[in-house]
Amino acid sequence: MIRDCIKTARGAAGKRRPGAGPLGRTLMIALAVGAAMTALQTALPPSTGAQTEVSFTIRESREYTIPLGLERLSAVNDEPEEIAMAETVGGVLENDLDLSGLFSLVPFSVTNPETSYADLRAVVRGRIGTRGKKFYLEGWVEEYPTGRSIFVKRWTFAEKLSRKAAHSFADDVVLFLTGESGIAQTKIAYVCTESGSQEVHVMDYDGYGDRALTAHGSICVSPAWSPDGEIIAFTGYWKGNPDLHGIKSIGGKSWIISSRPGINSAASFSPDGKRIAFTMTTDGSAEIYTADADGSNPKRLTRNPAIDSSPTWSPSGNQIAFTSGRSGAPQIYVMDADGANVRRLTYEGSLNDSPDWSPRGDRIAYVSRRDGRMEICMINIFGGEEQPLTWGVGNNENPRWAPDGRHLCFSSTRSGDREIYMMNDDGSGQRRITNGPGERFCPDWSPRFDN
Amino acid sequence: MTAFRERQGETKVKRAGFLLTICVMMFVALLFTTNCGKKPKPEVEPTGVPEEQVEPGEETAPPETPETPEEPEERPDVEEISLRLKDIHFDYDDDSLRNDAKEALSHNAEVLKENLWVDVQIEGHCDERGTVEYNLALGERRALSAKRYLVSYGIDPSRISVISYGKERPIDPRHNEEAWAKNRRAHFVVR
Repeated sequence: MIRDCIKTARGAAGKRRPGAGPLGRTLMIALAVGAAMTALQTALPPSTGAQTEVSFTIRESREYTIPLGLERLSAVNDEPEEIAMAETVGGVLENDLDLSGLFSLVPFSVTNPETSYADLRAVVRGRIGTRGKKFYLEGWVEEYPTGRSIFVKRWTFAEKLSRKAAHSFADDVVLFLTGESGIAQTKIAYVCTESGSQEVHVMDYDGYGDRALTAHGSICVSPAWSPDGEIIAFTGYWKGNPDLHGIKSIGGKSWIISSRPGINSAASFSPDGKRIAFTMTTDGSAEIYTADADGSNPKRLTRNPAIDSSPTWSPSGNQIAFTSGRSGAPQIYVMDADGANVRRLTYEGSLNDSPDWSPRGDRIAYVSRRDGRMEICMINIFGGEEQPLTWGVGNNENPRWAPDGRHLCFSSTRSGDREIYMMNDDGSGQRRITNGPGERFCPDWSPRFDN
Repeated sequence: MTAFRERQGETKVKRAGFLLTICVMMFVALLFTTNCGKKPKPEVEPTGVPEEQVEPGEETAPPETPETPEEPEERPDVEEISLRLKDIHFDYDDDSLRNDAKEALSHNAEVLKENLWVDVQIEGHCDERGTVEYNLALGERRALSAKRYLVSYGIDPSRISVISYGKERPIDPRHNEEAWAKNRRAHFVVR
């Protein structure tokens, strides 16, 4: 019964479940939808010979969420530190499950069954104990009302890593109920001005655990995670020129990826991590190049006196979307990863910029100037409706997809200076993640880490 | 007679040698005093940063702090010349030179011609509207516009370097038209 709910709720073929039953059905539906949408695209000139992306995802209805019972975590022994830890871990767990957007959470108690439990399909339960100086979390998910166990797991952790243990449990809950791991253990890199200079920071996706990666004392912009989460590329002025640097996400000395005269910026790693796309002005105007991930063998993709910048790869690695001023004002374009077959994607409004390709392959988020403000918008990769996700509050920039393709982070000035926000992919659930002093902007969402 | 002349020659040589020694000593003394007049190069120690405990799977390193480069020797009047160079301003989303910009650039060219031993860096800046990346590119276009004009005025292009700060270094942090107009600029720094 739970599996039926999962299929209805997700509708997405699992990348993690190749060959599973629902994949074939979903592919057929997606191909039919894709064909219908292509037939409707009379506004766009046909792209001759363009490689097409396999659009294998149907956007799931935001109205359906899995009713999930969540019991307060208990303490194995009636000791204050176990009880306190159960509160802490329980709070993080609840927040993670809530942020996932997949569940409607119902407070659950075995001893006090409520009528609201009638819709429940599963319950999350757990308890905290101590072993020596460390804590452990025993977490499990049961079918309701049968009580049949879906999974059980134990995490042992030092007190400092309590949030990580909770995030891991939350991701497993999502994994076992939907087939795809959650994003509770992901991180966000961004630029922070709190120290007085612009430095690269990394924080947990929920805003905790913030730490500085650089202390250059100058200007850094545009951090970009590698697909394995090990490296962050960024542009820094430390050596007196906007150079492209790489640094390990756990910290250490940075190295130069590209330091041609002029600009070396807007880095974006290819999905296989082997190449990097970025902007350089070394040949006279801002053009897009791809190179090996260490910056060697750069290959020029665009040849145009207008500004070409902000490349973003499709998840297949076959195409790159980017911003170009070639038609007068910045608009979003798509080209093959070798620079061929350039086609324009956005037509509405006077400024469309900063594209980011969804990891599900079907949509591109970007920034659009509407009514004098910058709004985050969404467009299908075949073109068509250019749908705003933010509206009317502040300037919203730098949309970046979470690896689940169902969340975005971005910067917004809606509460004053720029801070980092997140939202669901339909614009719902917009919430602030960071808080001053200083400004926070240029976010980039990490991949899932192999833990 | 010859012996007398030889003695005169010897004396002349001795006197020349003596004068040469005096000159060398004066020269050395001059160097010495000039060296004493120079400011000692400041030494800067990197600031200590707290180390985080290493946890399995959560290793962190202290944030990277670059070595501070040695400060260049102060050339006389470099700052004074910088102050004489005027900023130029641009229209929104534009890198073309307005008439007021051209006037200012002509003035700057004269200043640079009067001081042939200095180089100049042109900084390109943008207002806060538009994205970080697009403004980086636009800022560079503005700096290059200014450079081209100076070169057309006879300034050697090898004396001029450009750098873009996009919208990262506004001169006016406010969020209105007045501030934006000030921030859309090229700024000249003598080196």
